[in-house]
Amino acid sequence: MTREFEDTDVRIGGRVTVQQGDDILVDHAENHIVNLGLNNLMIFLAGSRWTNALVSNTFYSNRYYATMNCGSDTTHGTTYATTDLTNKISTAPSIMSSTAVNAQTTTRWVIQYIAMWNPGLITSQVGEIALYNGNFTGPPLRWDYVNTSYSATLFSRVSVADGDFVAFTPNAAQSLTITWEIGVNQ
Amino acid sequence: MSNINYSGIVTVKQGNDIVFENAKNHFTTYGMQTIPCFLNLNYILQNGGTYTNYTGLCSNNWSMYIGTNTSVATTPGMTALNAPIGTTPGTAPSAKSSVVIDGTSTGIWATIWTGVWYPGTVIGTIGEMALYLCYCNTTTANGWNFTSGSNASVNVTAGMFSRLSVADGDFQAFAIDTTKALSIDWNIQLSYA
Repeated sequence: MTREFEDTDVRIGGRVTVQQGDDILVDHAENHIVNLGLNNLMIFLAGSRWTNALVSNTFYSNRYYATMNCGSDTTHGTTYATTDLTNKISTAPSIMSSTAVNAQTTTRWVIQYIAMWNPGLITSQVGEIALYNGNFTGPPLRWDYVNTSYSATLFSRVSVADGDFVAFTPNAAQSLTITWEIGVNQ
Repeated sequence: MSNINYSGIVTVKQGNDIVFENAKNHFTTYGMQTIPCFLNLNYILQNGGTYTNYTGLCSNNWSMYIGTNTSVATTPGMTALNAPIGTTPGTAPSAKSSVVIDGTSTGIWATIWTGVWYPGTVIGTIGEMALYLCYCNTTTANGWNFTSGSNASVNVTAGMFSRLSVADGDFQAFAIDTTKALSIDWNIQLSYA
């Protein structure tokens, strides 16, 4: 189900850039945020309180679990219900970082996630890429959201099957860097 | 499905009469910034006071307020109604409720907050109204800290999340009928564009 934007609406979107050494392999491909990502945001807006069933006074979420993975699939497009990569390459980034929220204007904010794999860690063809987040999961509630476990789940995906980029095979002699920008703007 | 549409829709009734319906709201900085700041959170820390294992989210201490101003349009940096009815930030609704709509099957997630003022509890001509939710504006810190009190949830601050006004062309000013209940449904949606 889709709707057209109106002037008063706010857009939440994401763009992905892939670099190998100094070469740009994917340049600002638009991402596809999935149901798990939207549900996470609505739980935060709708909920009144967050109970931590793990008996701690620190409530980890969202960026704490942010990470990325590549995958090899080139035939399955992203749907709202997609929950993971189709053929995930399990190698985690050598370095995973994110920036603070950057207020680019009074009506635009950006967070940048950066993942880097050391040379030779990913050598097979890449046809899909995912951003995972410490999403709140389960149906959105208006009262008490109870955390019983923590994990990262899919927030957004880009793929060859969606026409977002052309499949590539990383050069084993160079590092692979993926920059994922999530922007909120009016 | 590349972008997500984040919008707010407002309907106002007096008794059973619809004063206006489905007017689009204007998010303020609090309303917009809360989304990226939430994604950027590493943790929420209940820090201080007697230990409790819960803390507040956006709808903790939420409210709505109405005002009389008809000439000042909404700007992102606005943090309060221009001329609230009642003592600042305004007279809170007599009754409040909310419902949440899971968008898993439809692609539209929504929360509808409803404020009802009982007959005669507010008087005047309405030219502006606002939804107050707890907001997140921690852009640089790792976490969102609540630093005092025995119950973390009561320390969350609500701020003006979005506004609707005559000056923005959202609706026409109307006088409150003090013989009827005034109700506002504020529907914030996340949907695929």
